Amino acid sequence: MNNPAFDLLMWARGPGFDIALIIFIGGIVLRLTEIIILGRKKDMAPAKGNGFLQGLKTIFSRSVPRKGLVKFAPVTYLGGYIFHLGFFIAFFFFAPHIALIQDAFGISWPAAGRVIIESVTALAVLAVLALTYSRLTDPVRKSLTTFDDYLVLLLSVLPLITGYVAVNKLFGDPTMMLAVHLLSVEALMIAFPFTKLMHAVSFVFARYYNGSIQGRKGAES
Amino acid sequence: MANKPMLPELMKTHGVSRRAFMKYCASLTSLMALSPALVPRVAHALETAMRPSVIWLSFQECTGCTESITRSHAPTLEDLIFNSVSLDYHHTLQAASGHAAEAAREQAMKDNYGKYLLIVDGSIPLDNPGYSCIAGISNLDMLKETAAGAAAIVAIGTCAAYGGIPHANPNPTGAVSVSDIIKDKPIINVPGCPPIPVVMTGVLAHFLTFGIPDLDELGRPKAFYGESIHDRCYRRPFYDKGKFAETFDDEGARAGWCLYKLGCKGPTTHSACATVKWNNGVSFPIEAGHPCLGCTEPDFWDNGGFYNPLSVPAGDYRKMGVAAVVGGAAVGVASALLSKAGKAKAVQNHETVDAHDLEKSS
Repeated sequence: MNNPAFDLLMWARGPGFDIALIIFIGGIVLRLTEIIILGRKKDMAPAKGNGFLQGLKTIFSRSVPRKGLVKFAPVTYLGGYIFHLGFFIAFFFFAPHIALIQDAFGISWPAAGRVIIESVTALAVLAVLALTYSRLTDPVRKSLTTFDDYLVLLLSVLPLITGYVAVNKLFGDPTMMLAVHLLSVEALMIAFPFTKLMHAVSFVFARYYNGSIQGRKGAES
Repeated sequence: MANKPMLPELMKTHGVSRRAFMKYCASLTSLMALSPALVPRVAHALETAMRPSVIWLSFQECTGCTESITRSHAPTLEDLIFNSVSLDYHHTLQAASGHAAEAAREQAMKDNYGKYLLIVDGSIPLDNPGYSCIAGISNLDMLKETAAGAAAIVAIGTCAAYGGIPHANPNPTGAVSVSDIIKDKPIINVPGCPPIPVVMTGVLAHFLTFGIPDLDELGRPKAFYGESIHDRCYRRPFYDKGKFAETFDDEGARAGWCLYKLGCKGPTTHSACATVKWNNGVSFPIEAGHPCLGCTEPDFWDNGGFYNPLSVPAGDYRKMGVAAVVGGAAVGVASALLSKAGKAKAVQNHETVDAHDLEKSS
């Protein structure tokens, strides 16, 4: 006699994770190799500033919001920050996730308590809902939104929701919900290299290129 | 069965007072998670019920389940055997052996056909009947033959309930559970490696007093398997606060913090260990400082390692990761070089266009 929920969990922890990992890591490395090898056209003009330092600075400075953004696009500004911070805290400070990182890389750090993890998870889910709503109602954003954007929003929010449900046993068999949570993360991993989710890695290169181009011209960025 | 004495007469001969009997009924009732108002009903049922014949078959097992049930304190196995059931065949506990023992089983089956309770511990090998035989009869044949006349079957232990350790990968004997073979009889699964003694006797007592208890989708009585270890664990507050033992002898382990990172399977395991506990309610594995192995769940032996946390992948994923880095880099280089070659070719084939040409084409 088998427990289908347990079998699904073991598949998600075993072959499912392996498949997702190969596509995730392989896809990221593939795209990064392409980006690095293709590089940029050599700038023949004499440099007016230090492109390298300006590039490095821009990697970080672009994380600080522009002045006036909160008035111009409050939902994007607040929702964006809340979602990203919430997702990072839930991912990096929930004990079971730290256990996974520890197993893979041998490093660990103290876990956050349940109140913090669940609060930031709930806020991150609300932020995604707000961001989706603004995409659906604002005519300009709506026309700019593609299927890819909706897919990315869905794939990012599903692990948060399924994780919350699994930990709190809100509904369904807890073993099954844990399996569903892992599968939702695996779906995110598989889509990652081939959608806008890749920005989580490629932002470093994009910002460096932008910053160094401007820096070489002697401009701030 | 008709000539067997009823409980009141037995109590008299064993010198059991009415008060002691009612105490026994009260502890049974609370064990079965029933309302205290049902104590008189339990007493009445036990007093008037005929002591059913019980046949206990042991197949591919380690006798751990029998060892465990003999340590039940409420009700004790003696209570059950002398007061509530007539244990007619159990080849570890009975004095008779060989043909005499088999004759006892056949006699009990004949006398109580359709009414006896069959208890099974151990899994049944399907690959080769010779892997496990009793008196020359294969486990499969004995189970089929004995189950045919049973009123109900109780599969004691994870081996009988779900295949257990013999069923673990690569399952060399082709071991299966009772419910994989018998489809036409009510089966109560009482998994555990071994099950908690009072859970085994409690389930038997429930069967004797109220019939088959409410079962979950894995055939387990909800009264004992309704909640997860994690939800009832006294270390749960440490999980919620994010405080974990990292090794078996660190400060966290000594302070009694959560054992999740040491591989505790409490979150996916349903059992009464955290509430009923073991050894007359003394403690349970987590209280003794060891993570839960998840022994009441099917395939617990193959759950990715006893000492690996639930969130850690079960496969050899590091090799996959390295392969992915190498593969991804190779394809990336190839793809980039192809793009560069394409670009160079495009530059070569570039046709110069001047304003005059553009005007012509528009």
